[in-house]
Amino acid sequence: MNWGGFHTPAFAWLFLLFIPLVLFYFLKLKRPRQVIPSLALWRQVLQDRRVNAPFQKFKRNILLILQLLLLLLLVLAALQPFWRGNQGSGTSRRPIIIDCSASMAAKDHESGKTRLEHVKEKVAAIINGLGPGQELSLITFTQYARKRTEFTGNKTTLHKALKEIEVEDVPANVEDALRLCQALAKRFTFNTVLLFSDGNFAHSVDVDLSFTLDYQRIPFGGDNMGITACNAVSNSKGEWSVFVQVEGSSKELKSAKIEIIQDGVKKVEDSLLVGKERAERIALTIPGSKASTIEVKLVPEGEDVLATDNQAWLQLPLNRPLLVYVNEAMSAYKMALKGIPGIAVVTDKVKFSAADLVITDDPNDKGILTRTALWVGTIPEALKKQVTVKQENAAVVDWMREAKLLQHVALDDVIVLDNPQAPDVRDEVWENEGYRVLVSGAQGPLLLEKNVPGNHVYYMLFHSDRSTLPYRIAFPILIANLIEEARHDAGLSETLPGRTGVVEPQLGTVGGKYTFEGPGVRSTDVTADEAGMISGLTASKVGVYKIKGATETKVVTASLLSSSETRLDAVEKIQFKETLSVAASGKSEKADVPLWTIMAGLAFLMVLIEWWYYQRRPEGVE
Amino acid sequence: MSQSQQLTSLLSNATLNRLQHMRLRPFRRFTNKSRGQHEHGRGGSSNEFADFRDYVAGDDMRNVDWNIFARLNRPYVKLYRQEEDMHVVLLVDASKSMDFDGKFLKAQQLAAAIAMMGIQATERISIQAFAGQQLQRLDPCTGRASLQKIFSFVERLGVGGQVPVEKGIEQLQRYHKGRGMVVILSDFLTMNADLKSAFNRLFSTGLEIYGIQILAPVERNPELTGDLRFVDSETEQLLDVTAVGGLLEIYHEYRSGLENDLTVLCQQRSGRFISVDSTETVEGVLFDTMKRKGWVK
Repeated sequence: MNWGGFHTPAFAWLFLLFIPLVLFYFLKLKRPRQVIPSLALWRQVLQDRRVNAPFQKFKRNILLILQLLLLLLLVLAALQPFWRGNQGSGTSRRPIIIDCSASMAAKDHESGKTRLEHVKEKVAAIINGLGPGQELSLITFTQYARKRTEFTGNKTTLHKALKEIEVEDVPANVEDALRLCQALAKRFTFNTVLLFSDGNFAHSVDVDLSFTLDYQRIPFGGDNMGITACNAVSNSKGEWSVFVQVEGSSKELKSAKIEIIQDGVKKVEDSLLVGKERAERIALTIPGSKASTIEVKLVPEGEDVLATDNQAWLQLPLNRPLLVYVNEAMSAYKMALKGIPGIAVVTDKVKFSAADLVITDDPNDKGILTRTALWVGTIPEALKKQVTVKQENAAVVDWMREAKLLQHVALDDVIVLDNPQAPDVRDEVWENEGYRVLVSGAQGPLLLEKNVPGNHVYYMLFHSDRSTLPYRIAFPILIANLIEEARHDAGLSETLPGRTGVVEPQLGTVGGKYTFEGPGVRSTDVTADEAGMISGLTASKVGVYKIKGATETKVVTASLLSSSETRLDAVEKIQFKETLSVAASGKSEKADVPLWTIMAGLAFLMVLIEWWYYQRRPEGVE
Repeated sequence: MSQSQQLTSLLSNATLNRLQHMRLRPFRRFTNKSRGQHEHGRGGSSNEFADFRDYVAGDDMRNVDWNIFARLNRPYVKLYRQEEDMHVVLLVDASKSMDFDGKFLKAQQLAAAIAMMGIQATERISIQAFAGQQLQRLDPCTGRASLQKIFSFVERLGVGGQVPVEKGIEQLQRYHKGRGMVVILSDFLTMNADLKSAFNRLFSTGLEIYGIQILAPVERNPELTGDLRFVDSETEQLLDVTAVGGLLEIYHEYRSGLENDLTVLCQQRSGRFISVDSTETVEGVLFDTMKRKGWVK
């Protein structure tokens, strides 16, 4: 069994210093002369049995022995000995993945430390045990992975990076971290990746591993309770039906109090009994006559290791009719919209600079701000080089039936007179340009969807007026689907809470300057894009955030709302592609313990002992 | 008092004045029967009253206490202390080992002081110093007239050579006559010394043995550490000692053992023993140590 070793065995030549030390000791042994009246007593002392005892003989050469010990300790310190932990020997590079998702903030009630703090202690020990030539790279992950350091052996850098790691109130996604390691493996050589986590992530991962994964699961648990779902659905009376779900991790039922507050006014206060096998659901109705903020607070009455899931927010908009702008010339659409309740159709684009849904074939309508749009007979600017339209008959070849817009829409007997041509363009090109083909013709796409987060923009490459579509039953269904999607995008059918992580894009003014502020976030400046969307904001902590503009301030909320994080589920075994799986390691990771500091400390102690021995007050002196 | 008016350079006149009123206190009072001033047992003819006893036929009627006879109607005889001549011998170690840290000067001072006390008590004083081959000796003398002679002899004593204590005692025995007491002033640091037989011989000649050990600070409380090469100041022999600090405890045991041995040797021969530091003042030794130990009164 290999107990330890030396990081710098080349310094063993320093043992040769013992030779000059011994030589100099005996050559330089010139004692100071001390004249005394008579040697009589001292001769008797030296003839004493105690003076000639083995220990006293040892004491006669104690200076030499102390110096030899001192040199031995210094040479050993120079050799940098270490006590081997259970890390692989000869490992020069190793990425360490640290989970800093919400559940890592769970506190152990015995030690009072969070799971992340335990992990940080372990990683700090590994950093301290780094020998010459050994390098680490620290990677953290929540929903996304982040490389904190490059491969480095600089302990100061690693400790600094480790210190900066904090828990983010976000669910974990280990797959991203493993993909990052996989990418690292293409540039650097390493055999093992160390993963520190509480196992609160999906048990199945779609990654190919080219390295050995050492999965170190944090062992301690504890009971937790939290809000795992919260949303609101609009009903036919113009009200919001608010729905809250509370779950727990305890096998036994635990009690808690829940409060639902609307704009600072307590609406509901109730008691709950929640366990691992029993989730509680609470529903209440809130009038939709005005926009309001709903705050849900959970107060567990027993142990609760995670505090961040005890609060959730929901922003309810005014329950109003959907504002639909239709170009004046598009009478077929106006006719189709007439039969749909809960919408307001407008045609005056001067009066309405913003709408929930825009249906138009006029390029001049681009200035109207909206989340959902259907551009009829329009080819997107980015695709004008790839697509040309010929005036000839064309038929629908195929369409994506699973797309929301095309649910229950049958297009097989629709004839179009505009035939978009893009014969040499492959599907990847549309994807690369950010489009998805929803309806395909014989020689090119007929309907495209632009991928914009939070938005739904559709381009009908043929004009419906030059097709049989308005005369088919598919047309009103298509319009009804579009309205439903617009209602959803405008938050009028269902309101979902803001979650931690990436903030949902918010509609602002085109090119407007905004400042993003909130818990755990330094004030960040952001500019709205050409569509007026404010995006790319991250809310890593649970709480209320503000997006301050010149004229308006938008409030967004971020809640954890993760069943897996609240239930503190732990994956024992990560299932990879094919049959590969990695189980949590049974033995805890122990770093190599460097011993040079102990050697140096002992050497210093030896110097002190030597100094004391020769400078102490002589025994027997009164 | 100016230096020119000093009786001796060894002791101040004030010390000498105090010494005039002090007397040596031997244990058994080996005395010569010739009349002297040294108070001996009862039945003497001095003026100092000692005791009463019943009158027996033949007693001198002049010694009957008539006052008691008048009260008790029984004759009692008054007894007086006998004052006899006592020989005080001062044996001074003048070997090279005494020439260290004022040891010999202390021996000179104490010798002069004891001689002063003896002269004041009209004892016979003789002084002998052993140093190398040369014998330094002052024949017995008595009376105040001899005081100056004694002081100048002590002042002129030379130091040097290698003479162990028992050799000095042997030299003393060659010339000495008479009973009394001998005061040996030495450091008593002699290898394998047979002091017991030397003391026995002295005691058998009728001398109570008093020892004054004079040690230098480096002998009494050596504050030494590390590895040292000791040089004997008398013989110039060398002795290498390692880690002296660790041996001091044993050294002190041996030094205390030597003191105890000498004390026992002296007490068994009706004498006394003290050990003094060469840096201690002579007044401290005379008026404090020696008085407390019962050497003088």
